[in-house]
This record gives sequence, C-alpha cells and structure tokens, in this order.
Amino acid sequence: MSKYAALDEGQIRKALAFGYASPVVGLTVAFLTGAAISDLFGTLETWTWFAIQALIGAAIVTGAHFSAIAVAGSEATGNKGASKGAARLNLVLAIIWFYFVGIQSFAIGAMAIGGLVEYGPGHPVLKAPSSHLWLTELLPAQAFILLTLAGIYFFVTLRSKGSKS
Amino acid sequence: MSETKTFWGRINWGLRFPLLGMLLFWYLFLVSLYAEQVLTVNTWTPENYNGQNYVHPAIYLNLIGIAILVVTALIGRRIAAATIAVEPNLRLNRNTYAFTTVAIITALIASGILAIAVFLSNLNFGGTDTRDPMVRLLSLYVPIILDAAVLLFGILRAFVVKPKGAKNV
Repeated sequence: MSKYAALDEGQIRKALAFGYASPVVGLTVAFLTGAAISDLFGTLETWTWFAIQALIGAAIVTGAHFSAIAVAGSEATGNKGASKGAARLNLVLAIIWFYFVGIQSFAIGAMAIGGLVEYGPGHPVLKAPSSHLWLTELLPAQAFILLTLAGIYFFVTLRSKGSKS
Repeated sequence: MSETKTFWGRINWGLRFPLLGMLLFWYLFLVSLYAEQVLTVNTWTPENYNGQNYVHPAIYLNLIGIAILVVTALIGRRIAAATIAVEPNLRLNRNTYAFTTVAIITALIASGILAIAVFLSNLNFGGTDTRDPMVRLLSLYVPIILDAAVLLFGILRAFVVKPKGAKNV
C-alpha cells in the first residue's frame, strides 16, 4: 500500500497544481531569462544554454514528481483524470526536452571537434584543444549529455512514486 | 515495498544500462568525428581533400556505438522484465521497461539514419567514382549490411522475442 493513498483531497489538489504549474513556470522563467541575457549581452553562451536547459529539466522532473503523487493519491478516490493529464503533460514535455538537449550535446560536441582542424590556403592542420575550446565547447558538450542522462534517470524514478505494491 | 527504498536503496540496472549505452554512444560519436579529422589531415592533397580513397573509420565507429546502444537497451529491457515478473505492480519497473522501449526505438532510428547517410554519401552519379573497388565495398556495401543486421537484431529481440516477464506490459 502506497503512503500516498492516504492523502486527503486538499493534498492531492496541491500536488496536482504543482504537477501542472511546475513545467509551465519553469519554461516561462527559462525563456524570459534567456531573452533577457541575449538582450543584455547580445549572445547566448553555451554555459548559459546549459543553465536554461537545466532549469527546464528540473521544472519538468519536479512536475513529474508531483503529478505522480497526485495520481497515486487519487487512486483511492477513483478520480484520476486530471492527475493522469498532468502526468502525461510532463511525459510529453520530458520527451521533447530529452531529444532537444541530447541533440544539442551532439551538435556542441561536433562543433568542438570541428574546431580542432585549421583550414587555410594549403594543407589543413590538426591542433591540440586549447583551454578556451575546453571551457567553451568540449566541457559544455559533456555537461549537456550528462544533464540529459541525469534528467532521464530522475524523471523515470520520480515519476514512479506511489507504487501499488 | 516502499517506493522510497526502491528509488534510493536499490541500484536500478534496468535503467542504468541504457543510460550507460547512450553515454558510450556519445563518446564514440565524438571519437568518430576526431578520427575523420585525423584522416582528412593525414591524407589531404589538393586533388583528394576528403580522404576519398580511404575507408573512413567513422562509419564503423558509429556502427559500434549504435550496436552498443541497442545491446545495452536490450539488457536493460531484460532486467526490467525480470523485475516486473517479481513485482508486477511496482511502477518503477514498468516505467523502466517503457523507457527501455524508447531507448531501443531511438537506437533503431539512429541506425536507420546511419544507413541513409552512408548510402547518400556514397552514391556514384554518372559513374565518376574512381575509388578502389575494395574501398567502395568497405565504405558502402559492408556498413549497410552490418547496419541492417544490427537493426534487424534490435527489432527481433525487442518486439518479437519479448522477455518473459513482459507479456502483459
């Protein structure tokens, strides 16, 4: 028996509200932050992108966590429609986010490796990665793929709250 | 069993195997790009600027990466199915199983994209490709056959020969 089966109506409603609100608020804050930074500095550095994606991912994982609690709590009342809707909303957003961040990590990594070759008028030259390349492209690319994998891990485990057994 | 104990207390290898496979695939992808750059630099001549007369190792490195992705997702799926057979109502097991399905589908899509990329980048329009037949065989025909084998293996093991615990999932 799950501990969430004993939740009262108010607690379920609160979890449901967080389940719906968390991804929407997270996305809005992330978009506004990105827009403000690009307005102020005229560019979006890779690490800024990372912070934006981490914020969106955290908001979706939090939303999944609360919607799972709402689903588990409303199992006893039999009124699961809205809770399942919140869970599905977070699932769809999570899938889009995973693919987007994953593809971004591949693209940044490819750009970093591409930057190792210097093409000139003659023979191309393979350079050793500079500290600047490490800090601005190679490290962020690895951070992006790790963010994607961590996001998947936390999403799947936190979405599984409220086990029936 | 409490879900909190499941989350923190037990290593969920059904979930970790595909994630590990994805990480290895990502690193192999970068290694394949680096290998491609090394080949370009070392074989560069004004007439042959993209290593046309050499077998590109990137194709095989990407193929190995996709094979790792498929196999780790399949192992994760077997583990998830086995845990479902023990605890059929535990959501973590069912969600892990569903995730391994997504991981396999992602690997199969990647495999399809690789086959199309290999095919399109080696088309011989107008018969102007003057490469050694062995280079052409190893750059075009063999990778496509191996890629199809990986694709078929993944599809059959994931969706036809399903793990025992997963009959009702």
